[in-house]
Amino acid sequence: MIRRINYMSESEDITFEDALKQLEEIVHELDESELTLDNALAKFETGVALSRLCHRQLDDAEMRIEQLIEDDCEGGAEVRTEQMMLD
Amino acid sequence: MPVRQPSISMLYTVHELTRQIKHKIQDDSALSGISVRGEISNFTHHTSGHMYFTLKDEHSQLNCVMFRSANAQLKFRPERGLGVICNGDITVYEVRGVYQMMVRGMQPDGVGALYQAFEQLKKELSERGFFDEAIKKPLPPFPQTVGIITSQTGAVLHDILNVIRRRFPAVRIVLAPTRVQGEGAAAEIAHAIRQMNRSALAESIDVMIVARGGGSIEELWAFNEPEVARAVFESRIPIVSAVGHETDVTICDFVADLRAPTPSAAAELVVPDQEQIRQQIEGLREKLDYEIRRTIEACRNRTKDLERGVVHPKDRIDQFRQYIDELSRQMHTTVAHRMELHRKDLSMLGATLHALSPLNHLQRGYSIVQRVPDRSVVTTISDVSMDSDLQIRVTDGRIGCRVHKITEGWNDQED
Repeated sequence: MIRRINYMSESEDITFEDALKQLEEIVHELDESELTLDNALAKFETGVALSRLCHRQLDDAEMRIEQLIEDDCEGGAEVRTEQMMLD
Repeated sequence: MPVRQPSISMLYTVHELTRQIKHKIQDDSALSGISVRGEISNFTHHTSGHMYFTLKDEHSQLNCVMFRSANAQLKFRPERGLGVICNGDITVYEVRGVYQMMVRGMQPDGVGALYQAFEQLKKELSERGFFDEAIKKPLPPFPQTVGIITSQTGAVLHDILNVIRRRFPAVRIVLAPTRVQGEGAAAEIAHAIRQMNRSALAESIDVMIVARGGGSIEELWAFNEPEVARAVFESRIPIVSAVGHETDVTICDFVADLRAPTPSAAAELVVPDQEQIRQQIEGLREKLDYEIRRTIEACRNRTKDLERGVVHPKDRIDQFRQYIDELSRQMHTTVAHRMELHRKDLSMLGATLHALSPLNHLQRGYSIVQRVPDRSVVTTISDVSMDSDLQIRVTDGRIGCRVHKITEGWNDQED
Protein backbone atom coordinates (compact mmCIF):
# COMPACT_ATOMS: atom_id res chain seq x y z
CA MET A 1 0.00 0.00 0.00
CA ILE A 2 2.85 2.34 0.76
CA ARG A 3 3.98 4.03 -2.36
CA ARG A 4 7.61 3.43 -3.10
CA ILE A 5 9.93 4.44 -5.86
CA ASN A 6 12.06 2.07 -7.75
CA TYR A 7 15.72 2.64 -7.10
CA MET A 8 18.52 2.25 -9.63
CA SER A 9 16.29 0.06 -11.75
CA GLU A 10 16.97 -2.74 -9.33
CA SER A 11 14.48 -4.47 -7.15
CA GLU A 12 15.43 -2.44 -4.12
CA ASP A 13 12.56 -0.22 -3.05
CA ILE A 14 13.06 3.08 -1.35
CA THR A 15 10.67 5.71 -0.08
CA PHE A 16 10.90 9.33 -1.14
CA GLU A 17 11.92 10.30 2.36
CA ASP A 18 14.67 7.69 2.46
CA ALA A 19 15.88 8.68 -1.00
CA LEU A 20 16.16 12.29 0.08
CA LYS A 21 17.87 11.27 3.30
CA GLN A 22 20.37 9.10 1.41
CA LEU A 23 21.06 11.92 -1.00
CA GLU A 24 21.81 14.22 1.93
CA GLU A 25 24.07 11.60 3.47
CA ILE A 26 26.00 11.12 0.23
CA VAL A 27 26.57 14.85 -0.16
CA HIS A 28 27.69 14.97 3.45
CA GLU A 29 30.07 12.04 2.96
CA LEU A 30 31.56 13.60 -0.14
CA ASP A 31 31.97 16.83 1.75
CA GLU A 32 33.32 15.51 5.02
CA SER A 33 35.37 12.43 4.35
CA GLU A 34 38.25 11.84 2.01
CA LEU A 35 36.92 9.10 -0.21
CA THR A 36 38.90 7.25 -2.82
CA LEU A 37 38.11 8.42 -6.33
CA ASP A 38 36.36 5.17 -7.19
CA ASN A 39 34.31 5.37 -4.07
CA ALA A 40 33.52 9.03 -4.60
CA LEU A 41 32.45 8.42 -8.20
CA ALA A 42 30.24 5.54 -7.12
CA LYS A 43 28.65 7.75 -4.47
CA PHE A 44 28.23 10.53 -6.97
CA GLU A 45 26.45 8.25 -9.41
CA THR A 46 24.15 7.02 -6.68
CA GLY A 47 23.50 10.61 -5.63
CA VAL A 48 22.61 11.67 -9.15
CA ALA A 49 20.29 8.70 -9.49
CA LEU A 50 18.67 9.53 -6.17
CA SER A 51 18.10 13.16 -7.10
CA ARG A 52 16.52 12.05 -10.40
CA LEU A 53 14.32 9.62 -8.54
CA CYS A 54 13.20 12.29 -6.12
CA HIS A 55 12.29 14.59 -8.98
CA ARG A 56 10.55 11.84 -10.88
CA GLN A 57 8.65 10.89 -7.76
CA LEU A 58 7.36 14.43 -7.49
CA ASP A 59 6.67 14.71 -11.21
CA ASP A 60 4.79 11.47 -11.52
CA ALA A 61 2.91 11.76 -8.29
CA GLU A 62 -0.81 11.90 -8.42
CA MET A 63 -2.80 12.25 -5.26
CA ARG A 64 -4.83 9.16 -4.55
CA ILE A 65 -7.95 9.40 -2.46
CA GLU A 66 -9.46 6.48 -0.63
CA GLN A 67 -12.37 6.29 1.68
CA LEU A 68 -12.48 4.46 4.95
CA ILE A 69 -15.03 1.66 4.72
CA GLU A 70 -16.33 -0.43 7.53
CA ASP A 71 -17.63 -3.88 6.75
CA ASP A 72 -19.71 -5.50 9.40
CA CYS A 73 -18.56 -9.03 9.83
CA GLU A 74 -18.36 -11.62 12.52
CA GLY A 75 -16.46 -10.43 15.54
CA GLY A 76 -16.91 -6.75 14.76
CA ALA A 77 -16.36 -4.37 11.93
CA GLU A 78 -13.52 -4.75 9.50
CA VAL A 79 -11.87 -1.60 8.30
CA ARG A 80 -10.60 -1.18 4.78
CA THR A 81 -10.26 1.59 2.25
CA GLU A 82 -11.73 2.01 -1.17
CA GLN A 83 -10.65 4.18 -4.07
CA MET A 84 -12.77 7.27 -4.21
CA MET A 85 -13.51 9.89 -6.83
CA LEU A 86 -14.38 13.41 -5.87
CA ASP A 87 -16.12 15.86 -8.14
CA MET B 1 -62.57 12.77 54.07
CA PRO B 2 -61.43 14.77 57.06
CA VAL B 3 -63.64 14.41 60.12
CA ARG B 4 -65.10 17.77 61.08
CA GLN B 5 -65.49 18.41 64.76
CA PRO B 6 -67.09 21.67 65.87
CA SER B 7 -64.78 22.62 68.74
CA ILE B 8 -61.54 22.15 67.02
CA SER B 9 -60.22 23.09 63.59
CA MET B 10 -60.06 20.55 60.80
CA LEU B 11 -58.19 17.39 61.61
CA TYR B 12 -56.04 15.92 58.80
CA THR B 13 -53.90 12.97 58.60
CA VAL B 14 -50.30 13.94 57.74
CA HIS B 15 -50.73 12.44 54.37
CA GLU B 16 -54.01 14.28 53.76
CA LEU B 17 -52.48 17.60 54.67
CA THR B 18 -49.43 17.00 52.60
CA ARG B 19 -51.55 16.22 49.60
CA GLN B 20 -53.63 19.35 50.29
CA ILE B 21 -50.52 21.46 50.29
CA LYS B 22 -49.18 19.69 47.23
CA HIS B 23 -52.32 20.45 45.27
CA LYS B 24 -52.31 23.99 46.48
CA ILE B 25 -48.79 24.52 45.31
CA GLN B 26 -49.03 22.64 42.08
CA ASP B 27 -52.18 24.40 41.05
CA ASP B 28 -50.52 27.74 41.54
CA SER B 29 -49.45 28.95 38.13
CA ALA B 30 -47.04 31.32 39.81
CA LEU B 31 -45.06 28.33 41.05
CA SER B 32 -44.81 26.33 37.86
CA GLY B 33 -42.79 27.00 34.76
CA ILE B 34 -40.58 29.33 36.70
CA SER B 35 -36.91 30.22 36.75
CA VAL B 36 -34.90 30.58 39.92
CA ARG B 37 -31.49 32.08 40.31
CA GLY B 38 -29.16 30.77 43.00
CA GLU B 39 -25.92 29.09 43.90
CA ILE B 40 -25.61 25.31 44.00
CA SER B 41 -24.75 23.67 47.31
CA ASN B 42 -25.00 20.13 48.73
CA PHE B 43 -24.72 18.75 45.21
CA THR B 44 -25.16 14.99 44.83
CA HIS B 45 -25.17 13.08 41.58
CA HIS B 46 -26.84 9.88 42.69
CA THR B 47 -25.96 6.50 41.19
CA SER B 48 -29.47 6.44 39.83
CA GLY B 49 -28.41 9.32 37.59
CA HIS B 50 -30.64 11.87 39.32
CA MET B 51 -29.13 15.03 40.74
CA TYR B 52 -30.00 16.40 44.17
CA PHE B 53 -28.85 19.79 45.30
CA THR B 54 -29.79 22.94 47.11
CA LEU B 55 -30.10 26.35 45.53
CA LYS B 56 -29.33 29.12 47.92
CA ASP B 57 -28.76 32.80 48.21
CA GLU B 58 -27.74 34.77 51.29
CA HIS B 59 -31.21 34.52 52.84
CA SER B 60 -32.82 31.27 51.77
CA GLN B 61 -32.44 27.76 50.50
CA LEU B 62 -34.42 25.71 47.98
CA ASN B 63 -34.23 21.94 47.62
CA CYS B 64 -33.90 20.85 44.02
CA VAL B 65 -34.01 17.61 42.11
CA MET B 66 -33.05 17.11 38.48
CA PHE B 67 -33.87 13.74 37.07
CA ARG B 68 -31.57 11.79 34.88
CA SER B 69 -33.63 12.39 31.75
CA ALA B 70 -33.32 16.13 32.28
CA ASN B 71 -29.67 16.35 33.35
CA ALA B 72 -28.48 14.17 30.46
CA GLN B 73 -29.06 17.19 28.24
CA LEU B 74 -26.69 19.36 30.24
CA LYS B 75 -23.59 20.52 28.35
CA PHE B 76 -21.83 21.40 31.57
CA ARG B 77 -21.45 19.71 34.91
CA PRO B 78 -23.27 21.38 37.83
CA GLU B 79 -21.07 21.72 40.87
CA ARG B 80 -21.06 23.26 44.31
CA GLY B 81 -20.64 27.01 44.31
CA LEU B 82 -21.77 27.44 40.73
CA GLY B 83 -24.24 30.22 40.10
CA VAL B 84 -27.08 28.91 37.96
CA ILE B 85 -30.55 29.66 36.73
CA CYS B 86 -32.88 26.69 37.03
CA ASN B 87 -36.14 26.27 35.16
CA GLY B 88 -38.89 24.01 36.42
CA ASP B 89 -41.82 23.68 38.77
CA ILE B 90 -42.24 23.71 42.49
CA THR B 91 -43.51 20.36 43.72
CA VAL B 92 -43.96 18.61 47.02
CA TYR B 93 -42.17 15.45 47.94
CA GLU B 94 -44.84 13.82 49.99
CA VAL B 95 -42.70 11.19 51.71
CA ARG B 96 -40.72 13.87 53.53
CA GLY B 97 -43.23 16.61 53.35
CA VAL B 98 -40.92 19.08 51.72
CA TYR B 99 -41.38 21.30 48.78
CA GLN B 100 -38.75 21.31 46.18
CA MET B 101 -37.99 22.46 42.72
CA MET B 102 -38.27 19.90 39.95
CA VAL B 103 -35.51 21.23 37.66
CA ARG B 104 -35.98 20.65 33.95
CA GLY B 105 -33.24 22.89 32.64
CA MET B 106 -30.25 24.69 33.99
CA GLN B 107 -27.99 27.47 32.71
CA PRO B 108 -24.85 28.76 34.30
CA ASP B 109 -25.60 32.23 35.57
CA GLY B 110 -23.53 34.96 33.94
CA VAL B 111 -21.62 32.94 31.32
CA GLY B 112 -23.06 30.62 28.71
CA ALA B 113 -23.56 26.98 29.48
CA LEU B 114 -21.28 25.89 26.67
CA TYR B 115 -18.59 28.26 27.78
CA GLN B 116 -18.92 26.88 31.27
CA ALA B 117 -18.72 23.34 29.97
CA PHE B 118 -15.75 24.21 27.81
CA GLU B 119 -13.85 25.73 30.71
CA GLN B 120 -14.65 22.81 32.96
CA LEU B 121 -13.55 20.17 30.49
CA LYS B 122 -10.47 22.16 29.59
CA LYS B 123 -9.48 22.39 33.23
CA GLU B 124 -10.17 18.73 33.88
CA LEU B 125 -8.27 17.47 30.81
CA SER B 126 -5.41 19.81 31.50
CA GLU B 127 -5.11 18.39 35.01
CA ARG B 128 -5.16 14.89 33.58
CA GLY B 129 -2.28 15.76 31.27
CA PHE B 130 -4.20 15.67 28.00
CA PHE B 131 -2.52 18.87 26.80
CA ASP B 132 1.03 18.14 27.95
CA GLU B 133 3.57 19.32 25.41
CA ALA B 134 5.81 16.40 26.32
CA ILE B 135 3.38 13.84 24.90
CA LYS B 136 2.76 15.70 21.65
CA LYS B 137 3.84 13.56 18.75
CA PRO B 138 6.02 15.09 16.06
CA LEU B 139 4.65 15.19 12.52
CA PRO B 140 6.43 13.08 9.90
CA PRO B 141 8.38 15.25 7.45
CA PHE B 142 7.19 13.30 4.40
CA PRO B 143 3.90 11.57 5.07
CA GLN B 144 2.95 8.95 2.54
CA THR B 145 -0.59 8.58 3.74
CA VAL B 146 -2.69 11.32 5.29
CA GLY B 147 -5.90 10.52 7.12
CA ILE B 148 -8.62 13.17 6.93
CA ILE B 149 -11.60 13.27 9.24
CA THR B 150 -14.19 15.82 8.25
CA SER B 151 -17.47 16.24 6.45
CA GLN B 152 -17.49 14.84 2.95
CA THR B 153 -19.59 17.76 1.83
CA GLY B 154 -18.50 21.31 2.16
CA ALA B 155 -15.51 23.44 1.34
CA VAL B 156 -13.24 22.13 4.06
CA LEU B 157 -12.38 18.83 2.40
CA HIS B 158 -11.83 20.52 -0.95
CA ASP B 159 -9.62 23.17 0.61
CA ILE B 160 -7.48 20.52 2.25
CA LEU B 161 -7.24 18.36 -0.87
CA ASN B 162 -6.40 21.37 -3.04
CA VAL B 163 -3.59 22.43 -0.78
CA ILE B 164 -2.17 18.91 -0.62
CA ARG B 165 -2.46 18.46 -4.39
CA ARG B 166 -0.68 21.73 -4.99
CA ARG B 167 2.03 21.30 -2.36
CA PHE B 168 2.87 17.63 -2.37
CA PRO B 169 0.70 15.35 -4.50
CA ALA B 170 2.83 12.29 -3.76
CA VAL B 171 0.54 11.21 -0.98
CA ARG B 172 -2.35 8.88 -0.47
CA ILE B 173 -5.40 10.27 1.26
CA VAL B 174 -7.63 8.16 3.46
CA LEU B 175 -10.85 9.97 4.13
CA ALA B 176 -13.21 9.11 6.95
CA PRO B 177 -16.33 11.18 6.32
CA THR B 178 -18.20 12.16 9.47
CA ARG B 179 -20.83 14.58 10.52
CA VAL B 180 -19.19 17.56 12.12
CA GLN B 181 -22.08 19.04 14.03
CA GLY B 182 -25.23 18.05 15.75
CA GLU B 183 -26.27 15.03 17.73
CA GLY B 184 -23.96 12.06 17.23
CA ALA B 185 -21.24 14.04 15.45
CA ALA B 186 -18.82 13.72 18.36
CA ALA B 187 -19.32 9.97 18.49
CA GLU B 188 -18.69 9.68 14.74
CA ILE B 189 -15.55 11.76 14.94
CA ALA B 190 -14.20 9.77 17.89
CA HIS B 191 -15.06 6.54 16.11
CA ALA B 192 -13.30 7.65 12.92
CA ILE B 193 -10.16 8.53 14.86
CA ARG B 194 -10.18 5.09 16.46
CA GLN B 195 -10.78 3.36 13.13
CA MET B 196 -7.84 5.20 11.58
CA ASN B 197 -5.78 3.81 14.43
CA ARG B 198 -6.89 0.25 13.79
CA SER B 199 -3.80 -1.84 13.31
CA ALA B 200 -4.44 -2.66 9.67
CA LEU B 201 -4.54 1.02 8.75
CA ALA B 202 -2.43 2.62 11.43
CA GLU B 203 0.78 1.29 9.97
CA SER B 204 0.22 3.13 6.74
CA ILE B 205 -1.42 6.32 8.00
CA ASP B 206 1.34 8.73 8.96
CA VAL B 207 -0.66 11.71 10.10
CA MET B 208 -4.29 12.76 10.49
CA ILE B 209 -6.20 15.97 10.02
CA VAL B 210 -9.37 16.50 12.03
CA ALA B 211 -11.12 19.49 10.54
CA ARG B 212 -14.26 21.55 10.38
CA GLY B 213 -15.10 24.92 8.95
CA GLY B 214 -16.11 27.94 10.97
CA GLY B 215 -19.33 28.13 12.94
CA SER B 216 -20.95 29.13 16.19
CA ILE B 217 -19.83 27.57 19.43
CA GLU B 218 -22.88 25.31 19.24
CA GLU B 219 -21.96 24.18 15.73
CA LEU B 220 -18.36 23.49 16.76
CA TRP B 221 -19.49 21.75 19.92
CA ALA B 222 -18.76 18.19 18.81
CA PHE B 223 -15.07 19.05 18.96
CA ASN B 224 -15.46 20.03 22.62
CA GLU B 225 -16.93 16.71 23.66
CA PRO B 226 -14.91 14.54 26.05
CA GLU B 227 -15.16 11.49 23.80
CA VAL B 228 -13.48 13.33 20.93
CA ALA B 229 -10.80 14.58 23.32
CA ARG B 230 -10.19 11.04 24.55
CA ALA B 231 -9.97 9.59 21.03
CA VAL B 232 -7.50 12.28 19.99
CA PHE B 233 -5.51 11.73 23.17
CA GLU B 234 -5.34 7.99 22.63
CA SER B 235 -4.46 8.16 18.94
CA ARG B 236 -1.07 6.68 18.08
CA ILE B 237 -1.13 8.63 14.81
CA PRO B 238 -0.19 12.31 15.13
CA ILE B 239 -3.24 14.55 14.74
CA VAL B 240 -3.47 18.08 13.44
CA SER B 241 -6.67 19.78 14.56
CA ALA B 242 -8.22 22.52 12.47
CA VAL B 243 -11.64 23.42 13.74
CA GLY B 244 -13.37 26.63 12.82
CA HIS B 245 -11.66 29.90 12.09
CA GLU B 246 -8.43 31.15 13.50
CA THR B 247 -10.16 32.65 16.53
CA ASP B 248 -12.11 29.51 17.36
CA VAL B 249 -10.46 27.23 19.88
CA THR B 250 -11.79 23.81 20.76
CA ILE B 251 -10.81 21.10 23.21
CA CYS B 252 -9.83 19.02 20.20
CA ASP B 253 -7.29 21.72 19.29
CA PHE B 254 -5.75 21.53 22.74
CA VAL B 255 -5.45 17.76 22.79
CA ALA B 256 -4.19 17.42 19.22
CA ASP B 257 -0.49 17.19 18.54
CA LEU B 258 -0.67 20.38 16.54
CA ARG B 259 -3.34 23.03 16.11
CA ALA B 260 -3.82 24.67 12.74
CA PRO B 261 -5.68 27.96 12.48
CA THR B 262 -7.67 26.75 9.45
CA PRO B 263 -8.16 23.50 7.51
CA SER B 264 -6.00 24.81 4.64
CA ALA B 265 -3.28 25.66 7.13
CA ALA B 266 -3.55 22.12 8.51
CA ALA B 267 -2.85 20.74 5.04
CA GLU B 268 0.16 23.02 4.76
CA LEU B 269 1.47 21.81 8.09
CA VAL B 270 1.00 18.17 7.17
CA VAL B 271 2.66 17.99 3.75
CA PRO B 272 5.88 19.67 2.69
CA ASP B 273 5.98 22.15 -0.17
CA GLN B 274 7.24 20.32 -3.24
CA GLU B 275 8.74 23.52 -4.65
CA GLN B 276 10.87 23.81 -1.56
CA ILE B 277 11.72 20.12 -1.77
CA ARG B 278 12.66 20.47 -5.42
CA GLN B 279 14.90 23.37 -4.54
CA GLN B 280 16.39 21.32 -1.75
CA ILE B 281 17.04 18.45 -4.17
CA GLU B 282 18.52 20.90 -6.68
CA GLY B 283 20.73 22.30 -3.94
CA LEU B 284 21.88 18.82 -3.03
CA ARG B 285 22.45 18.03 -6.69
CA GLU B 286 24.61 21.13 -7.11
CA LYS B 287 26.49 20.27 -3.98
CA LEU B 288 26.99 16.77 -5.37
CA ASP B 289 28.45 18.19 -8.60
CA TYR B 290 30.66 20.54 -6.68
CA GLU B 291 31.88 17.81 -4.35
CA ILE B 292 32.69 15.36 -7.13
CA ARG B 293 34.54 18.07 -9.03
CA ARG B 294 36.43 18.95 -5.90
CA THR B 295 37.22 15.30 -5.23
CA ILE B 296 38.41 14.76 -8.80
CA GLU B 297 40.49 17.93 -8.60
CA ALA B 298 41.97 16.76 -5.30
CA CYS B 299 42.77 13.38 -6.83
CA ARG B 300 44.32 15.08 -9.86
CA ASN B 301 46.48 17.22 -7.63
CA ARG B 302 47.50 14.23 -5.61
CA THR B 303 48.34 12.40 -8.83
CA LYS B 304 50.38 15.37 -9.97
CA ASP B 305 52.25 15.35 -6.71
CA LEU B 306 52.94 11.68 -7.12
CA GLU B 307 53.91 12.21 -10.75
CA ARG B 308 56.37 14.80 -9.63
CA GLY B 309 57.82 12.14 -7.38
CA VAL B 310 58.03 9.66 -10.24
CA VAL B 311 59.54 12.17 -12.70
CA HIS B 312 62.15 13.30 -10.24
CA PRO B 313 64.92 10.83 -11.40
CA LYS B 314 65.10 12.65 -14.74
CA ASP B 315 65.34 15.85 -12.91
CA ARG B 316 67.89 14.34 -10.62
CA ILE B 317 69.89 13.11 -13.55
CA ASP B 318 69.97 16.68 -14.80
CA GLN B 319 70.96 17.70 -11.34
CA PHE B 320 73.71 15.13 -11.33
CA ARG B 321 74.82 16.23 -14.77
CA GLN B 322 75.15 19.72 -13.57
CA TYR B 323 76.86 18.57 -10.44
CA ILE B 324 79.26 16.53 -12.49
CA ASP B 325 80.00 19.58 -14.63
CA GLU B 326 80.58 21.56 -11.57
CA LEU B 327 82.88 18.92 -10.14
CA SER B 328 84.64 18.81 -13.45
CA ARG B 329 85.10 22.53 -13.41
CA GLN B 330 86.39 22.39 -9.90
CA MET B 331 88.68 19.58 -10.88
CA HIS B 332 90.06 21.57 -13.76
CA THR B 333 90.61 24.56 -11.62
CA THR B 334 92.30 22.47 -9.00
CA VAL B 335 94.47 20.70 -11.51
CA ALA B 336 95.44 23.97 -13.17
CA HIS B 337 96.27 25.38 -9.82
CA ARG B 338 98.33 22.38 -8.98
CA MET B 339 100.07 22.54 -12.34
CA GLU B 340 100.91 26.12 -11.63
CA LEU B 341 102.38 25.13 -8.31
CA HIS B 342 104.31 22.34 -9.89
CA ARG B 343 105.48 24.66 -12.58
CA LYS B 344 106.80 27.02 -9.96
CA ASP B 345 108.46 24.15 -8.12
CA LEU B 346 109.90 23.01 -11.38
CA SER B 347 111.42 26.33 -12.28
CA MET B 348 112.86 26.53 -8.81
CA LEU B 349 114.27 23.07 -9.23
CA GLY B 350 115.58 24.12 -12.65
CA ALA B 351 117.43 26.96 -11.08
CA THR B 352 118.81 24.67 -8.45
CA LEU B 353 119.64 22.17 -11.07
CA HIS B 354 121.33 24.81 -13.12
CA ALA B 355 123.34 25.80 -10.14
CA LEU B 356 124.36 22.24 -9.71
CA SER B 357 125.07 21.66 -13.41
CA PRO B 358 128.47 20.13 -14.17
CA LEU B 359 128.80 22.73 -16.91
CA ASN B 360 129.40 25.24 -14.20
CA HIS B 361 132.29 23.15 -13.05
CA LEU B 362 133.51 23.06 -16.61
CA GLN B 363 133.61 26.81 -16.72
CA ARG B 364 135.62 26.85 -13.64
CA GLY B 365 138.16 24.70 -15.48
CA TYR B 366 137.02 21.25 -14.69
CA SER B 367 136.29 18.89 -17.51
CA ILE B 368 134.67 15.55 -17.93
CA VAL B 369 136.59 12.60 -19.27
CA GLN B 370 134.63 9.90 -20.89
CA ARG B 371 135.61 6.65 -22.37
CA VAL B 372 135.01 6.10 -26.04
CA PRO B 373 132.74 4.78 -27.20
CA ASP B 374 130.70 3.97 -24.03
CA ARG B 375 130.91 7.51 -22.66
CA SER B 376 131.31 6.30 -19.14
CA VAL B 377 132.91 8.92 -16.99
CA VAL B 378 136.46 8.27 -16.05
CA THR B 379 137.01 8.81 -12.36
CA THR B 380 139.92 6.53 -11.68
CA ILE B 381 143.00 5.31 -13.56
CA SER B 382 141.58 1.83 -13.54
CA ASP B 383 138.87 3.09 -15.88
CA VAL B 384 141.38 3.48 -18.72
CA SER B 385 143.95 1.45 -20.44
CA MET B 386 146.90 2.39 -22.55
CA ASP B 387 146.17 3.63 -26.09
CA SER B 388 142.39 3.72 -25.40
CA ASP B 389 140.54 6.67 -26.83
CA LEU B 390 138.97 9.17 -24.49
CA GLN B 391 136.81 12.21 -24.94
CA ILE B 392 137.22 15.33 -22.86
CA ARG B 393 134.23 17.55 -22.47
CA VAL B 394 134.91 21.21 -21.87
CA THR B 395 132.51 24.15 -21.88
CA ASP B 396 132.28 24.60 -25.58
CA GLY B 397 133.18 21.22 -27.07
CA ARG B 398 134.93 17.89 -27.01
CA ILE B 399 138.54 17.00 -27.33
CA GLY B 400 139.49 13.55 -28.55
CA CYS B 401 142.70 12.08 -27.08
CA ARG B 402 144.58 8.81 -26.54
CA VAL B 403 146.06 7.46 -23.34
CA HIS B 404 149.77 7.33 -23.59
CA LYS B 405 150.63 7.24 -19.92
CA ILE B 406 148.98 6.12 -16.77
CA THR B 407 150.37 7.20 -13.47
CA GLU B 408 149.05 6.45 -10.05
CA GLY B 409 148.89 9.34 -7.62
CA TRP B 410 148.89 13.11 -8.12
CA ASN B 411 152.69 13.68 -8.22
CA ASP B 412 153.33 16.06 -11.16
CA GLN B 413 157.03 16.12 -10.75
CA GLU B 414 157.46 12.97 -12.67
CA ASP B 415 156.32 14.73 -15.91
